[in-house]
Amino acid sequence: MSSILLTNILRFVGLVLLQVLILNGILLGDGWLGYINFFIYPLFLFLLPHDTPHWALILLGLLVGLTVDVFYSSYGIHAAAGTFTGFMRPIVLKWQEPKGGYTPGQSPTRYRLGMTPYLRYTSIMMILHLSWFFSMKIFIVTEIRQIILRTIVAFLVSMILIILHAVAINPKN
Amino acid sequence: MRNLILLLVRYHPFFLFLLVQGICISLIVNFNKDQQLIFDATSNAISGWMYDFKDSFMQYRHYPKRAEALAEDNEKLFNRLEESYFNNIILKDSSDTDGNRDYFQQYFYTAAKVVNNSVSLPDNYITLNRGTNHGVAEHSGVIGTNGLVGIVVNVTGNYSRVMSLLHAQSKVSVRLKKTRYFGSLVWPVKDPRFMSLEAIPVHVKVTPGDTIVTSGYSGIFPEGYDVGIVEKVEEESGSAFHKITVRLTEDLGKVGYVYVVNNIYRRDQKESEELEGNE
Repeated sequence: MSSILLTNILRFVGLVLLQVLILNGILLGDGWLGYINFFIYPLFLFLLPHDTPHWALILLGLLVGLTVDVFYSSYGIHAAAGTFTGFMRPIVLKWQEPKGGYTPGQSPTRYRLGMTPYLRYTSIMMILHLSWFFSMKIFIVTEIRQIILRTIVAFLVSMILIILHAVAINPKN
Repeated sequence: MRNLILLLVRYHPFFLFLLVQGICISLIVNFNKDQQLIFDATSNAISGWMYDFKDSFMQYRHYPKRAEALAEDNEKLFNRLEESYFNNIILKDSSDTDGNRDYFQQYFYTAAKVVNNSVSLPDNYITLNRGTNHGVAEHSGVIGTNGLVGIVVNVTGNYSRVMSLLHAQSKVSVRLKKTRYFGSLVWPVKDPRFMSLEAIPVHVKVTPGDTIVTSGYSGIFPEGYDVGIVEKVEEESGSAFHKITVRLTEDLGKVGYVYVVNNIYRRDQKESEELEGNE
């Protein structure tokens, strides 16, 4: 049990550091290239154990979002997206639930779910997270095309990282 | 109540989400310049109750200044009204001593702000932020945008005290706009919205809805200024006069900017009337 807690704490620290120290610095240029934003920290929320209470998911989403916000000086934007992702996670998991159900204490990882269901689950979650994030970032309804475009581009590049993580590390929990 | 608690408990993640999301959005608009600009400036482009809500607050901040500017504009316009001039055509024809002008300014208007007011006492007074330094004189009339307000009874350098219409002693000469019959308007110390019109003989036809305007007889108010509307007409047996209730057009409970009307020929008029009275 404590190893799951330790895993998640390390994952939190590791993913946040990767996000703010490395991915934050990747600027490929202006214009279309500026649309390329890598998101890895939501993976922390995706991989929390199944028996994490719903309220805890929301508050952990707030926590990880705020932490990233501090480094990006974008107070509240990542936090809003993290909260939303935390709130949506049980709904998405319920929707994507396999026939055998989930085992409490385990996490929805590639190791447990298999590659295709895992990618389906993380894709849905990433789309939700990014659309909420860019809605908050652009913050104006008339720029809906910007919101959609940026979400799609960031989704494509972020999923590369998710796949790399699933292939290279492939954690059990 | 129990159901409400059950609802909150059952859907607590959703309510928690709403709460935390609200905190996040308030953080966003307070600490991020772009979002703040969007939030502040383009509220009409954004469909959201929050933007309208904040914007309405932003506008109210400018209202006092705008109201002041409008009051000054009105003051200028009032001064140019036909009723503000004294008809001098006859005088000019007989002995042309004062140049060749047909009309002289008779009523001067000064915009003023109400700084103190009451409507709940038997004798109500209003204080204005204009005094002798601004050309306010005793016995000047005070009008609002919609109707009469009162009469100046006391003036200092920068302030003046106005006897409100809602005063046991107030008596204003008014007439029925339609039939031109005149009477006096008094306050029966009851409802601040209504006054009584006295001394209209029973043979004069009065119907609810008739307009009451100033007669100009007292020399305090210009003639023909709106005062109120007849609300109710009652007959008292044995009385030769109607008992008329008048609804004031000006709500004295919420006057903000008013205009002091100074009739510079009033002393002339009063002097001539007193001479007549002595004979």
